[in-house]
Amino acid sequence: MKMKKILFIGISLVLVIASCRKRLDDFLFNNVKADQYLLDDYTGRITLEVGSEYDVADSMIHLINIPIQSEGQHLNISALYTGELSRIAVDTVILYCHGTADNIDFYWPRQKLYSNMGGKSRFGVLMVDYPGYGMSEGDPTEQNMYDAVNGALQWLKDNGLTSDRLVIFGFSLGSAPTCEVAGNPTKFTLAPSKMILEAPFASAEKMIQDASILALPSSYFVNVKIDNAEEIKKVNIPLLWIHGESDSFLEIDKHGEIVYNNYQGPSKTAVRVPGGDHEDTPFIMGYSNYLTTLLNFIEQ
Amino acid sequence: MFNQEFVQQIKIHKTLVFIGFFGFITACAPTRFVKPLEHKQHAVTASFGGPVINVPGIATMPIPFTTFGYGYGLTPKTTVYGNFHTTSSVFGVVQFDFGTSHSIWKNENNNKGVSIAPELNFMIDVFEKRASLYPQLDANYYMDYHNKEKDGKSKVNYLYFGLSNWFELRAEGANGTKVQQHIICSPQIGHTFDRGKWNYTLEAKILAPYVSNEKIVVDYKSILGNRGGLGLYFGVNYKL
Repeated sequence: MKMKKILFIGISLVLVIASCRKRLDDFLFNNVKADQYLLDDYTGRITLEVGSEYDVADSMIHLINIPIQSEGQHLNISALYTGELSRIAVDTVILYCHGTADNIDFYWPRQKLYSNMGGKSRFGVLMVDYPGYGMSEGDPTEQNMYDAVNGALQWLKDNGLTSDRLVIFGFSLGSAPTCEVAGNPTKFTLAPSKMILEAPFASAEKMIQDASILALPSSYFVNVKIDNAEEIKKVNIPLLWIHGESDSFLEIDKHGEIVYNNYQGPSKTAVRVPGGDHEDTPFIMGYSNYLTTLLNFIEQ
Repeated sequence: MFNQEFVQQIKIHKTLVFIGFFGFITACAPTRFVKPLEHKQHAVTASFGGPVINVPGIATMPIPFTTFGYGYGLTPKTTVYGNFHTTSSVFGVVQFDFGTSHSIWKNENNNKGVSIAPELNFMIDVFEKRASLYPQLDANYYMDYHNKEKDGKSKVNYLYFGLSNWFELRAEGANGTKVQQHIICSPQIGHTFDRGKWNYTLEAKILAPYVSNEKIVVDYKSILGNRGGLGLYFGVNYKL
């Protein structure tokens, strides 16, 4: 009788617990929502501190609202464009896909750097907050992150940008939409002419296996299928890859090198930064040197 | 200048979300039956604990892996057992382990001995049905001390120490990378309070002490600094 009771309780426990479906997709997204962007007035943690020489004039800062449809939802996506709006139709534009942390305020110093590359507002720079980040509606998923980036591409196209003048730049998590767009250009509104990856990760599965030691399938933990190391094989535009050799979050050998080595496109440039950690390669390289590297790649 | 806290902040967030399951999945339970059960003895078991990580603002604590299982004394020297891993199931991964604990040596006084426990760990997720099988082999030396018998009931304490070994059979990991660790070996030490029908075990493992715990998304705590991790476990058996 006692055995039957224990068996019954055991089986019930198994069924109840096995019916749970918690997933760890959230591990990719460290989003922070915001009612407004504070930019230079933001007092929270930031990625880099840059001097006043990289200030961007208020007249060059444009907050954009981009409506998208994603996974059956209508979402308003927020993006920040720096530069002359009128020059989108005639000059090169950088679409910057930021990393996993916080929102646009966190990455604002980076946008200021890129806006000062080659001179004040030499290039237009568009940075988009993925759903659930900053003022963008929704909660982040892999698909709506891609849809938000496509919404940004649509906005650029509506303002006159053509594919041959688009450079896409992905940092860390942003390497996922960057590789997705560059590897599958026909699925997106515009096809970039060049791509830049800074501290990319190889795949969600690789990150999981780093942490668990065992070669466990990613489906044990997450639904996301992000696999930059595979997507990069389809890319047919020039690549610039920057990665800190001391990256303590996405180790260069286990992530960046795999992505870089899998690239089979027309030309690739690697910048391995001695002493650079995950986030600080611009600082370690020196902002001027960092921006010159980017500029040379874009203008070559 | 560079915000020095950034990478740490990311890791903190990761630690919080990974706490439910990630980490040394190889370290989700203590050794099941260091001493095999008596012949034809039934027992139910439960365990709690895992690798110790720092949860900022809360505590440094073991990941709360839980398992429930059953054991049976098949022969005087061999116990068979199986366990269900409840924490894994919460995440849609059905995980069982099946094994035997076998006494291979005892001294004349029956108060010291060596047991081995070959085991299979099976996992499959309900989403893509990807299955994994990990053989495991634990070996322990135990020694009784301070044994008492009162009112016909025995009270036995024993210490044990040994090795817990997991075997990775896959040759290739994500993105075609070569699997680096095919044997994950963890020294362990434990203590069991055997109180007749109930017994309680506390165990500590040094998880994979030869593997770096740096440059990954989880902050493991280890007594060896930047190598391996520390696992702490509590187990309870109830003899039927």
